[in-house]
Amino acid sequence: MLGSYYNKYFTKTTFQTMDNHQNTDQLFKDYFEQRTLKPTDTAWDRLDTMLSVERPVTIRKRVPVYWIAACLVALVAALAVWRGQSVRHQLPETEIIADRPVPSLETNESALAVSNEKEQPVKELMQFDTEKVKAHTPIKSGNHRIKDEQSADQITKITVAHDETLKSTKPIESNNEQDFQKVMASNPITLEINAQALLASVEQLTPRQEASESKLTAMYEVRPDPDELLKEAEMEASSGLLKKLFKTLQSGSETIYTAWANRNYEEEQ
Amino acid sequence: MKIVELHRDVHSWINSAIRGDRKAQKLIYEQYSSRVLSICRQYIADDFTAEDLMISTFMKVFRNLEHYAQKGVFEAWIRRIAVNECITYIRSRKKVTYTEPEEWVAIADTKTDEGLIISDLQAMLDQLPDGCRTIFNLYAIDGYKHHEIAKMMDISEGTSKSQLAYARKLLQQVLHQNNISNHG
Repeated sequence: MLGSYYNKYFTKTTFQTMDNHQNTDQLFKDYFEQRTLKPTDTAWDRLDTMLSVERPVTIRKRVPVYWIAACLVALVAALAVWRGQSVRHQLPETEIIADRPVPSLETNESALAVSNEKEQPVKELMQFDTEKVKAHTPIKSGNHRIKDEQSADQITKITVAHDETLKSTKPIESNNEQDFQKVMASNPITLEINAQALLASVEQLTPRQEASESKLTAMYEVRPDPDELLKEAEMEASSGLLKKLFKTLQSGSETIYTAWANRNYEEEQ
Repeated sequence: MKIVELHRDVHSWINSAIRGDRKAQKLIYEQYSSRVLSICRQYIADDFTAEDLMISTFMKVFRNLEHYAQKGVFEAWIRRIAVNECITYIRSRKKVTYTEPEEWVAIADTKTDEGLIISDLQAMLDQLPDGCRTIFNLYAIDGYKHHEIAKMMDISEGTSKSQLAYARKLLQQVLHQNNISNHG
């Protein structure tokens, strides 16, 4: 019965006061907080059916956006590094030589006159005569040329222990490593390379018009590959570079001496 | 001691129910269904609709059990879900009307031949308009503040306060009249 329950919360004298507002709230609050209502017997069956129909909830973990962005950045960076390395290592050697010839070396008569002296620097024997190179070195159409001044800076010092080494040594087979090691054991050539200058010169290639032909300068032309030199310098494989340089000088020396003799002969005529 | 055991049982039921154990889900249902139905019936003046809302409440409970941190009281967590279900239903069913003070009318007498019994409190509540009944339930019984009610029902705080006052006035009138007639 509500009567006693009502009297617990209200009195006739306080019915219109603010306290009775709170008592009204408390009356309903106490009642509904304790109340329970029994569901019908079919309620669980309905819920059971709904739970059976519904697929099990799989929690899908969301991948944060910043992780995706970081992965993309890392992927792009890795691709850039890989591409840069692959381009550097896969450049065809023939193309490098065709596109980026270094200036021709031309013998100097006075230098050759003292070529028999021991410990004579090759830089003195084979000086870079810029004007002659520009005037006489034949360049194939479409080729490029490194500035002569830069080329001179790239190899800071080349020294031949004995010029006779070039003449007396038998030509080295391309794959004969033992012969080369024997020759190089006496340190016939030492050189110092300015790698930065070498790299700068390669980067600053400029197109050049085809120069006038000259049989003499064409014969003197020595065309080491600057990219190959740079690669060798970077990989600190000085032995390989020396081997190539020795071979070049050895094969070129015969040509130089022959050309020098021919020119002297022509001048005498 | 019994409370501690029940608490331990509920946690084991919850862990099993998260894995989809139907027996554990039924145990949870049997433990709390009568309370949930009472909450739904408190807000909805229709027995069948209240039971439907109870079932949808348990569906949400079982779907989101893994999000229950098991730090608070489980019953309070279920109660909050049930209240939200009821509010969502009330708001989706139709536009909730809020009676202006000049339109206020006394609710019908709930006196029966056997006298006023305690269950008539529900009957009194059922006779209130939807708007003021919901606000009275939220404020007086479930303890929400006016700014919270205003946000939940998408109304102003002033409307919430006036509807609460209206509900109180009607309920007090009926309570007073029934008590006088019952004892007079």
